[in-house]
Amino acid sequence: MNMKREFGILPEGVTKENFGKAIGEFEVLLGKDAVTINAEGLTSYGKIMLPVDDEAHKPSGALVPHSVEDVQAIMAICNKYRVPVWPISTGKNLGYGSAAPATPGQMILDLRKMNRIIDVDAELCTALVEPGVTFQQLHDYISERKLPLWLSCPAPSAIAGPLGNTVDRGIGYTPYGEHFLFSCGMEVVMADGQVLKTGMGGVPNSNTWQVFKWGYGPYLDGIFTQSNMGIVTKLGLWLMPAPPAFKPFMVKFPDDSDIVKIVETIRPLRIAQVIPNAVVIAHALWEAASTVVRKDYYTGDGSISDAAVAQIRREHNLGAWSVYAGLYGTAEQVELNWKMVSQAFKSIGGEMLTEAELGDNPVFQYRASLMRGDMTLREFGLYNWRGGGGSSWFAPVSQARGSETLKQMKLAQDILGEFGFDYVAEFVVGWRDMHHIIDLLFDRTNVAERDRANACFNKLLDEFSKQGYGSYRTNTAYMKKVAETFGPVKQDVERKIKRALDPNGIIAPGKSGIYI
Amino acid sequence: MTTNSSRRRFLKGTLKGMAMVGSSIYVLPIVAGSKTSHPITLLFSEGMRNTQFAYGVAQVSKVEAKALRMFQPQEWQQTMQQYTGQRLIGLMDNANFAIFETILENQSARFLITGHHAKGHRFVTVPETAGVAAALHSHLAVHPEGYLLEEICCGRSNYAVEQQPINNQSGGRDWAFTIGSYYAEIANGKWAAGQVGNFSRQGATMATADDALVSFVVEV
Repeated sequence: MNMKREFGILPEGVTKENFGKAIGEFEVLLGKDAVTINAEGLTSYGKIMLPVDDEAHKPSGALVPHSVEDVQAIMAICNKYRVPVWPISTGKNLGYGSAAPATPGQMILDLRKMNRIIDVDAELCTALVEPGVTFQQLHDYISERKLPLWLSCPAPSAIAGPLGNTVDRGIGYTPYGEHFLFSCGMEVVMADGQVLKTGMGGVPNSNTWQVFKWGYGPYLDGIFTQSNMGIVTKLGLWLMPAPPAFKPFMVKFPDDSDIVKIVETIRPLRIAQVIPNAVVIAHALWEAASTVVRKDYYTGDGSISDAAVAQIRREHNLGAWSVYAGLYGTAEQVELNWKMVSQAFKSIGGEMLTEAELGDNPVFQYRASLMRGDMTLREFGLYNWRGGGGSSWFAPVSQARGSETLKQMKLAQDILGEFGFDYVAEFVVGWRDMHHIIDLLFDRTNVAERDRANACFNKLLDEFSKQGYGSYRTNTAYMKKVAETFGPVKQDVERKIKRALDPNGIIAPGKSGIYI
Repeated sequence: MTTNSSRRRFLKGTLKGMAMVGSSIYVLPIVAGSKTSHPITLLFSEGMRNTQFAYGVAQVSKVEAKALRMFQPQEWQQTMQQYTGQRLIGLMDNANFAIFETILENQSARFLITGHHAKGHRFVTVPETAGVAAALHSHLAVHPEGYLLEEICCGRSNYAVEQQPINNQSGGRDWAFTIGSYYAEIANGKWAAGQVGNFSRQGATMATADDALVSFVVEV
């Protein structure tokens, strides 16, 4: 019966006969409703926003397991027929590849039905969740029980999930914003079907799995992030105790070159934890792009003109840079830190604004929501800036040093300008680093523009790499290229680990440029 | 131009001719040529500005238009429950559609067609809705504007590619109006599937969307 089936695409190296047999076994295991091979059913898994052809990321099927045991059994079938799977949690990695695989023909392993919040401990401020749990779900769980805990979520918050975001090393905007740093304990299904619990999880009857990260011996959790060494099916999180006082604020600066003194001012405050959260330094066009439409200001060729940017800034009262940060703690702590922070920013000519001045300003409220881990989807407004459904994140890392950020900004502006795209960017300040987040927004309805965006992204990678800048994360179309920028030895070691753990290469081939 | 002023402009244009029923539901009258009296629900996100699309739908069917507040996925989720089993037509900005699509796919809704409209028009269809780009091409071919049309049909890999010479004849129909009427036929189950293909023609002006939009027909 399986031989008569039609498949849109086959996994690389798998015959139609063997794929048919694998599908038959998946259906017996999971039920027919949990196995999708028809093209229409796969549409949502194959949608991308990237500047490449859809065919490059087309899945061959999708599987929806309900349990760890299902995932283990899937591994056995995958090994038997050499069928690769691309695990997703909520699959909302928009601009990084969405749910679609890095290479065509992989089956999507959709873990969204594994969506239990297994534990939230309000005293230890920890949680244990499955892949399908969304930030909204966890937020609702906490608020329904009136637990004094805050989440840290990325900008797509409500529809994304903590497990997927953390294992992709995503970030949030609270003091717990470096998500992987604040994770504690994983359950991982290995390619051979074994179930690994990292950290303290392997100790029978242990109650310290979510409180002590390191366990004993080599710390393994890192090899399951941005990787294809295993399938993470549970993740422990540290949650932030709700602070008695929270003071979000904004500082405006008038010139592009002000980025130098902004960063020089923030760095010591950030490293000393006076400002404890991931500070955002948003460029004017990022601020504008989430609320206005490009076409209303500029319809000419090439990048948006300086005059148009000036007009937007004038009409919307925007600085060249807007700094968003928060102070957390007791009222006394916040008051003391506020004196330090306001003095520092005023001394370099920043215009300090707080809720007292900005009130219900929607842009400020959106940033304040992110900094207290509330659900907000306002950043999606970026997709209206240019329209046409194209978005590709470029995310190089820089030192938290003013001269470096200025250099990166100019380099990015030059390259984007060469291809007619706009510099829609922000810097997110870690402790000593900056994530330079640039959204290459383009019109996917125009093939010529799509191709231009692809050429632009490649040049961004090439030129930044030449200057010694690596990306902290990238989308599925450029994973191999980014991996190459980190050198041959790292790739060789990763390949050896991959071959040892997954000799048939059944888990997400190509993820972060790792193949067997 | 602020989002609020855009919204006002849209409301002034789109809602002209609609009768307000509730706080956010409007009814477009059946216009000459309408074939059915069953109302089709037209969802739109606040700030969305295209009027011709709505009138294209109204060409075929009575329309109830419903505005969705921006960036309110939980509210949408509840709203959509009242439409279970129905086919809805929608027109949204890219940002809200990205979220809306997620919500509906999680509810196992079936998108019969999705169209991204900006400089060009990019449709994703299923076999029963195939041929929208080709049909639009046949209408626009007698229009003085150039156009870029792309259609990706799930399960089909055979594509026609056709590039038309510049044509200065007139008499074509507005692309949004035409698509609206096609979508109404799809929602009514009366669309005759056709050839899938990509079509383009360069013109002095192009049949583009004034504001980038996403259109769709979804079975909830």
